[in-house]
Amino acid sequence: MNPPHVQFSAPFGRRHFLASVGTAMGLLALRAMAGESQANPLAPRSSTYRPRAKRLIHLFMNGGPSHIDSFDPKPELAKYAGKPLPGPKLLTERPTGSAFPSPFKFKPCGQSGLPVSDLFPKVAQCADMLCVVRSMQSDTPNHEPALMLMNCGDQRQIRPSLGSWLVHGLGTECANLPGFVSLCPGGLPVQEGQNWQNAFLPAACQGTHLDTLADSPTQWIENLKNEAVSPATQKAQLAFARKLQSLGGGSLPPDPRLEGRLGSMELAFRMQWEASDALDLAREDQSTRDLYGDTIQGRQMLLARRLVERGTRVVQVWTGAGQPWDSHDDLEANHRRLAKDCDQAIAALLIDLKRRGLLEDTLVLWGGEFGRTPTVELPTPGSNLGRLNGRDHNPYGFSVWLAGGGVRTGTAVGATDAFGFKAVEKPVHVHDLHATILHLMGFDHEKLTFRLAGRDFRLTDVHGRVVQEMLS
Amino acid sequence: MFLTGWLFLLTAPNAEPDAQAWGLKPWMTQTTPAQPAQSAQANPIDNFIRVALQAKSLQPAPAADKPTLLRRVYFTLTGLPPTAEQVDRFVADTSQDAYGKVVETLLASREHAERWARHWLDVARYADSKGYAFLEDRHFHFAWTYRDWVVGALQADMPYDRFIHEQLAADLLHPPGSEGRDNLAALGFLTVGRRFLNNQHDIIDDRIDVVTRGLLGLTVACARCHDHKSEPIDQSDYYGLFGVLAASKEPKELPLVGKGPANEADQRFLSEQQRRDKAVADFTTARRQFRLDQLRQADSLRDHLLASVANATDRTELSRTKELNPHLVERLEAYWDTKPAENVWWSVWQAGRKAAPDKFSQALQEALAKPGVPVPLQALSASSNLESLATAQAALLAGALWGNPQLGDLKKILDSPDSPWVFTREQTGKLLGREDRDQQRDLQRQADEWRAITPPSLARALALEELPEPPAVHIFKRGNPSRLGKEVPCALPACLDGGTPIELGAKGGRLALAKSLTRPDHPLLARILVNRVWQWHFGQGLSRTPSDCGSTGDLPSHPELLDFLAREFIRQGWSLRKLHRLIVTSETFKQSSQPSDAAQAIDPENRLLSHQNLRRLDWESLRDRLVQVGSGLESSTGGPPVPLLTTPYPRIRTLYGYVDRQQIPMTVRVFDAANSDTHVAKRSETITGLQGLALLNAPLVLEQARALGASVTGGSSDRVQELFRRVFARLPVEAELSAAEKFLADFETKPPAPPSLWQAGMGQWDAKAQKLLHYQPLKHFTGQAWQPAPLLPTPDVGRLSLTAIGGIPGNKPNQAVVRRFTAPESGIVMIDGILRHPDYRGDGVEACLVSSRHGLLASWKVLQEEVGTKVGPIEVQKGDTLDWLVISGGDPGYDGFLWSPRLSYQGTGKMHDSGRDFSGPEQVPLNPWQSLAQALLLSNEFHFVP
Repeated sequence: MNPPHVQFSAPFGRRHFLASVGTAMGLLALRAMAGESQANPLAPRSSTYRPRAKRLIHLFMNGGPSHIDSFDPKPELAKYAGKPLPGPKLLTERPTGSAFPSPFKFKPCGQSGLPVSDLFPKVAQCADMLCVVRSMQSDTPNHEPALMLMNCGDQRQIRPSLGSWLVHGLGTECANLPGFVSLCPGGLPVQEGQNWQNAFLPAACQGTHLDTLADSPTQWIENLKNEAVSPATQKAQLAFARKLQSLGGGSLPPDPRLEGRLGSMELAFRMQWEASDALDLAREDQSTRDLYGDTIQGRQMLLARRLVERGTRVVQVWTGAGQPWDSHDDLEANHRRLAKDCDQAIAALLIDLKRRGLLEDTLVLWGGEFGRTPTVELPTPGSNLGRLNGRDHNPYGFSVWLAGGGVRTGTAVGATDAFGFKAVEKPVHVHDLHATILHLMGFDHEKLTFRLAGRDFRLTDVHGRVVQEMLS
Repeated sequence: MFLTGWLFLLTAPNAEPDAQAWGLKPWMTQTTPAQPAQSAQANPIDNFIRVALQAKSLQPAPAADKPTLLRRVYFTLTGLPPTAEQVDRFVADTSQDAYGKVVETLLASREHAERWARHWLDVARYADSKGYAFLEDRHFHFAWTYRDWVVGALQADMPYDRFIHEQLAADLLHPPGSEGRDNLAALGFLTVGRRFLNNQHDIIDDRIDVVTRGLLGLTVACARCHDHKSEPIDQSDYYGLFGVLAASKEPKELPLVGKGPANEADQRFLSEQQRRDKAVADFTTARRQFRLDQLRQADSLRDHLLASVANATDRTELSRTKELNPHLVERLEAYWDTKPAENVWWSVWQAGRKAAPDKFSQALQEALAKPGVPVPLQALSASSNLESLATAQAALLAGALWGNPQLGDLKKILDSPDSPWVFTREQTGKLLGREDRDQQRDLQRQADEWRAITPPSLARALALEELPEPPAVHIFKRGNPSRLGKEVPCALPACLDGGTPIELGAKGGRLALAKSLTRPDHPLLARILVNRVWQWHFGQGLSRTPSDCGSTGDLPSHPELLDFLAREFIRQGWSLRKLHRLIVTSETFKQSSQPSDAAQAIDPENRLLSHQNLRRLDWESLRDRLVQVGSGLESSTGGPPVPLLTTPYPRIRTLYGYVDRQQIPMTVRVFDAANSDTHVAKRSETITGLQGLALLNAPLVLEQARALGASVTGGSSDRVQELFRRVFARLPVEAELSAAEKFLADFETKPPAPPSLWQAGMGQWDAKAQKLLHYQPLKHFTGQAWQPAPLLPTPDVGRLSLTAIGGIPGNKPNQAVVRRFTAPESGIVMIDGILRHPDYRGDGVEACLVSSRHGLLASWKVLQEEVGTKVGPIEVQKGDTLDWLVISGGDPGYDGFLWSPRLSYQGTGKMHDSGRDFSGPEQVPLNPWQSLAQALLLSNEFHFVP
């Protein structure tokens, strides 16, 4: 799409516009009632205290990547290869058998010597930027509730997602783009749009899904282009609508929403180019595009950077539709393929954010909804292919890593047992992870609340503690 | 001072330690405040409002002018604007009861019932889909019978108490064979909620929430896990209602409502449906029997016995080589340590499994020597190790199971309910193998697809029926169903009756619940309802937390008025129509929305209603108004829902649109449409750029602007005047007219976009002749996909569709989905692309590339993989077509594919990318009149009602 070659005259100027909408929103905010707000839910707001990070990129490895094969080395497993593990057996979704040592090799990486497996050779080179949490815990071995817990802090009930809470708490710094975007190529993850639901928060807080398998901005955002009306005419239409307002058409009483609406349409007019611009990867220089790689994952990681750079508050980057990391069979081949798809792109994202100075106040979170068992999954007709070379789900202990604003880097927090089955040292529950992320974004997780039906709801419900070991 | 009681609460909340929820307070002593003079026939509402205004020295605003008043009352009662003619007529009617006549007409109209049905559907979290359903069919198919029932009930002014009775207990009011069975559709109030992957506890929780917050303004759902923190509601209240709702289930065969089979076609439909349903049931029964028999074979019995006592390594090995049912293995493993396994028929096996290998024979002999060991067990005596023992024991078991009369006692053990080999009907899923379940799912899908096209005459109610044996209900400690607390009776929350729970009984519990909620002496139900109605008329309720009347809810601004209205409502026979009439004929409703300076200073939130509130159109009113002034609204009598954003755009009211709670389209969501996840107390109201994008660019809006602009004729000034009349029901003032003239003079035409070279279509692939037959373009565009019908699947085409990145072929053999390129010029082209079949199930898809000049150029087959689809160089002449077509691999399930080919002309390097160039229907540029029409649709006057 070509730039419009249309400039708004003075009253339409960008600064003036933002100022006037700002005022209108301010008035609206005054009118707002707790819980039933008329204020613009996307207007930028400050957090409770000074944030270490202003935006979040959540790399969601849906399906459950194996920690034992990536960031949590368990050499002990080799001793028991093919034999039952000692100790009590933990119940997972399906029956598992004897110990299954990792087919991948670990080595210490970077100056910190943080061990990373050869699944992620390029991410390994960024080891010094990572804070690996090895003692993650979830509550359930099933995908759907585990996804809900990781995204929304509750397995069962309909609660807003982390991204929605952050947009609710902080607004967005670029009104021309959605505040919360979920990138997922080729369709939707399991549990679909509920992963980024706003629940009872204002609709504008909901994640907007872009299918990154397509590669043109107009296929990502509805109604972004118009083949029937020229930009000049659109501009004239907006001016006409404004003129009717100034002539008192319809005898509308004074109300800040009137200006707010006109402003929002002028904003939309500009979004047609600005959003296209944000989403147009062709505008990146070749060396940057090479850094990320010409792949679907490369494309969506680069898109994530372009979005946060322009003020989108939260971007989720999903591996793909369904639950790609769910390697009940052929774990070695499947994990190898999946990691190869994203390794370069993830490393590129970290490097690129860093060299642009964005990593300082951007939080990057990598992880799935749970990890995988150190034992081999047994054949279950109807559930797997029975090849005895995969792992079942494991919510008792798994790894995620964080990078960026306010995170202690080149370090591993907590530990699982000798085999990687259960978090035994400094366990970090999903609620704790949420509390820590909110803390880094400038919120006390007990105070970021929304009043509904007589109760103050929060992301962490009645749980959660900030994990000091993760903070720099 | 009648306000004293409430002011007391407002100013000193701690002075009364048990500050009670406003909804639960006893009736206030009825006091219509002394009239502050003015009119003798003043509506009592105005008295209440004026007394409170006087207390703040505020004046009510003057009455709105007639056109404004007419627009307001049309919108509030019908959700639609009046036409210019209707405004003219009203202005011209100077009779005393001009307004009253309009109100009566509107109250009796179907449009009124439609509008207020939509309000009620917000309360009822209405949707046409179940939410996330994994591989299950996600459509409800018949939720619309509930929607239509609500419209019908409101149009008939069904008394609100009966309205509630039907929605909670229509099945009990109208038992089979009695009159009024159509009312069973009312039970949708309970059943149209999200289905939570069929988790019963979550489903019941959702129903408790819709009853308690929706009808009573009580937040009972908090008490699922713990006693309520701020309200007098504890866990036994929650589980008391849980018991009422857990005593019912949806019948397997949903009852027919409406006329029933009307003709032969209906009969044929029904028998086909029965055939498909039976196919699923027969298949399941047959496979179940097959699997049961399989597990009763001696070899299988032996393998399972061995696996159940093997260590992890051996079990792993056994799993590799034998066909094991893991559920049975686990059951057996647990079984050996239970009481039934101490039976003498197991004694030898038990001894053998526990014995060390070197003491094996000895242990066996000892066991066999024990008194009372049945003779047939001597067959085990020759076993030298666990394997041979398992073989011998399995032979005995097989003998017993297959009817050897000497083993009758053993058979009894194997058939008893605690036997690991017994799988109840409900446990059939644990018996079936992967292939069984895949096939079962495909049959179920075929049945569901048929159900999706049920003719309206065969509509069904999403009804409930009572279980023959209602389950005993216990409190779940911390909401955890595996931690049972004390048993609780089915009962009303105790707080409703001053702390005494009224028992409802599990049998007939829903009817008892409905009747106790509608007791005319209890204020709660009526208070909550009249407050909602007030909110829908004024934009905010007397209490602004309409679904929370608890101690943390917003206190009513005019508690006496609220009680007056609630009482009046009950006294007038729970008539909603009379309540509407009372409200919209009040001076308070009719006053201007211009606030006085004093009002803005003293009461900026207008809680005292010194003037009317400026109302913004919600999504439904906005789309209805757009279509009404554009291509014209069509009346409808209801029926199955239609997707509103799929072309060609339907012209029915938004109420009748398809609501998929899992995927509410962005264009709908940005206008704050109801989120049907849970009960909606009040729509949020946002102003965002995405709304602007939709109004500027959405093809739906452009189409209305086109129709509107094309409908006006005559000279320039005539057309402008007509546009204003059509859109705003008024004429333009001079300055508006000249602004419009200037707009038209400055108009710049957008050159039409070049026609798309790509087209989505379907056809029949003749593999023998290598020809595509019966090609036809796809006619419906959803915004993402081209497809042959507005809503998929259908039995004729399945899910056939094409998007920018891929598609799905038809469900019939060789029914192809086609991406067609028409060459704009002659030359040599190179063709490229990657074809993927991403699903790990199904049998993949087949694909071909066919040239109109050269015939079949290439073909591919993909299953859970991807292939490059490079072809060329190929010669094309201008106007030649190239067809990339895809058909099912045979099994019509899991055929989604990804393929967006591109081609480039050699020499010129011109590239045509089907993904990048993918588009919806061609957009004809708007002419000056149509552009002006769209500008009117953008204006604030179009979006707000003063």
